Amino acid sequence: MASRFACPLLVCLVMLAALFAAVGATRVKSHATFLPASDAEIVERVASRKLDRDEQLRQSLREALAKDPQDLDTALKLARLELRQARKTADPRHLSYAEAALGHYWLAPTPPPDVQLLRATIRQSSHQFDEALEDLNAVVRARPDDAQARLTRATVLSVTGRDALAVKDCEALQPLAPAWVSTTCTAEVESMQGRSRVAYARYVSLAAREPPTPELQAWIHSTFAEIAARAGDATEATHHFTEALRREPDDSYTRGAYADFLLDQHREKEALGWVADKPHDDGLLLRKVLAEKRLGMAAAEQDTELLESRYQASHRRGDTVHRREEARFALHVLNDPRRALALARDNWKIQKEPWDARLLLEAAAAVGRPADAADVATRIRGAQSTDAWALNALGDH
Amino acid sequence: MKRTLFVGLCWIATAAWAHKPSDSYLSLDAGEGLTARWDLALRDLDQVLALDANGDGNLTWQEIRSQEKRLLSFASSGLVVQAADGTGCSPRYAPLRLARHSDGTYAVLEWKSACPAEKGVHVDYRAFFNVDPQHRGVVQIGAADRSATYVLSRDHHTLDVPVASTSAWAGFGGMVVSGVEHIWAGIDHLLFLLALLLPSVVRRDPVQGWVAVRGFKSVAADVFKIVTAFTVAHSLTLSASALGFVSLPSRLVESAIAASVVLAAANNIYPLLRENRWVAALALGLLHGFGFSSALSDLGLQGRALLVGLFGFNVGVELGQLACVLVFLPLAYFVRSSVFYRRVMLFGGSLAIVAIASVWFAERATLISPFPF
Repeated sequence: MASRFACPLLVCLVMLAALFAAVGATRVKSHATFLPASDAEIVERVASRKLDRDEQLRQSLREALAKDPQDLDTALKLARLELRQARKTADPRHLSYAEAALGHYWLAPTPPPDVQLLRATIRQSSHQFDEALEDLNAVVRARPDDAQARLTRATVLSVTGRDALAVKDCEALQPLAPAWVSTTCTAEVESMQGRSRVAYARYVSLAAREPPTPELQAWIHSTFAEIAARAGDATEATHHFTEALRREPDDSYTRGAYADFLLDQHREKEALGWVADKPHDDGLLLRKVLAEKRLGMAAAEQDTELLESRYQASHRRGDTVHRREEARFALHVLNDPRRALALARDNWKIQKEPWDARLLLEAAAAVGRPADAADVATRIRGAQSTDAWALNALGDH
Repeated sequence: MKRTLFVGLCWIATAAWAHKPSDSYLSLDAGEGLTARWDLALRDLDQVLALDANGDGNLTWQEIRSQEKRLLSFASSGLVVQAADGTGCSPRYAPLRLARHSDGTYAVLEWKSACPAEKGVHVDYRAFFNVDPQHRGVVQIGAADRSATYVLSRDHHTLDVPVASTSAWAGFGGMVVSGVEHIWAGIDHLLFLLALLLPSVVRRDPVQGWVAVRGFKSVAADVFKIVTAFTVAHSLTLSASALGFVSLPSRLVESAIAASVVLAAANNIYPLLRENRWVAALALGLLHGFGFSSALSDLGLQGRALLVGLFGFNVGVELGQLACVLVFLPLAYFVRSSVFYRRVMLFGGSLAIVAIASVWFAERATLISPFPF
């Protein structure tokens, strides 16, 4: 009887040993060094000091600041330009440059309100929402009429799931800024609460009195595009996304949001068109992989490895800001719902937007543990959301 | 008062960034003296040194080579490496080369030094922080397949570590803990084991039905066979999956695991296997191993470090499992004669497990296309 037991056990152990030996012999991947073939070879693209006016302006401000580090006005100007560039290119280095521009003011517990507002904006970009709120509360206390502070605070409150407070800040904007600001703010928050169709109908015409610059027009269109997408109104969403991208075709965030909408509509080829030309952009690369996978394209495997290497590199430095994207990647590309669920759960602790709720619900359903997303489901049902994304995500329960 | 509204800034809250912030990669190894390699992003170097001489946005090899001296001078001022006894490990750089990383092209500085690095190194990293406070120096100490990684930042920019003794075993303890956590969080795995072990303290008598087993020795032998079989089986598939040899669709695995729990518990009600439950533990245990492997994939370990990590994780799983068995076994042994054990624990408990696991199976298996898009 002992031998009946021992034999299969022995077979298993031998197989185990063989596995270990096989892996022990494999070589470790490394970044091989190389020499370019010729002097003229272009090895990297950087900001152009000759052609890029914004970069020239930033450079001159940097030089002025280096001569006089105490010059608060210059520091604020430079920090704002860096933040604008960060938003434009989705490049987090500019966030860090903005922090550097604020110099020693950054470390002060109560810096001047202008600095505190920028510090809050930078912190919320790296998901330090509690710290950002501390700063924003202080700024609003010191300057109750500061529209930017209220608007930024409304955003952070909404992201962290405190929608009722966010609405108050949006309403407080009415006397402080043009009407379309307060309107768009309120519409967005109400959409986050699950009343997207109502919010759209109520506010889109008010917001249509368009603001002066194409950049701001694009912001409004992009916001209402997402509202319509959440509601499930494809025609309206397509219209607004198109309008937004007509004005700001390179905007990484809007492209990504449009691609997400198109993927939901099973218009994968169109989605691919909006993301395929920027493989260096991790957010857009994710949507590219998702579309390629659905279409069964050969490039999907290579792009999956590429994106995986980007996430690994991010982990090596200790970053955790894109758990949402990684959860999507784990769930729909790697088919690893357990990993997706762990990421989605950790993500939900920090941010509570519809996408975060949706991912947690989908991951929990895929693992077969809907109870893990029970608080999300309760929250959505409690808000009596009629949004298409919410009804779909809850439909699995 | 200026009221310029940067409304676009509000988007930054949860937007996905195009890539990670700035890092450089330093690897130090001690053999005969110190061998070092430092990869710095050309983008970062251009920001500080304006390498793009003609400012057209295209950084050419020629532009880099012509500024090599400035580059090396910058590097030397941003990094200090000393042996633990204070001897400087001053760099004599090899000619500059390049390398491609996931987020762009990097300049590669390599050098060797005769300093006595085997005793340990002191690293003081200061590059880029004054222009880029979020920059990180990712430092790898030791040879590639058995190294430890440290992340240096503006506020924590020094490091004092031994080099030679850094081995893949450094992370072993953490992996053991991780393994324990995973088995204790895996209710389906624990219920599977419990279902198999419930009948260990009793046996079926043709006349009297379930009867308590006399001696502890036979109970122990039965438990040992089942636990060992389960351990070997799930270790095998966990390893195969974590090392990349086998990859099964997750929904299939999860459903099969749920089904295995149903079978194990149902076996207590309509017994197919009595003395040979270890066969079920072995066969069905293979499925359970696949359920654990995602925990390891996140860590990006390779080579020997992966093997040690996997071994540690496995040890953790077994220890966690053993802890549960050691709690269950004496309790079951002491109450094995009672009606309570036979009716409530064995029969009722098995029914409950069948019910729970059936629900799991239904949820996990019937999801044909669970995702809205």
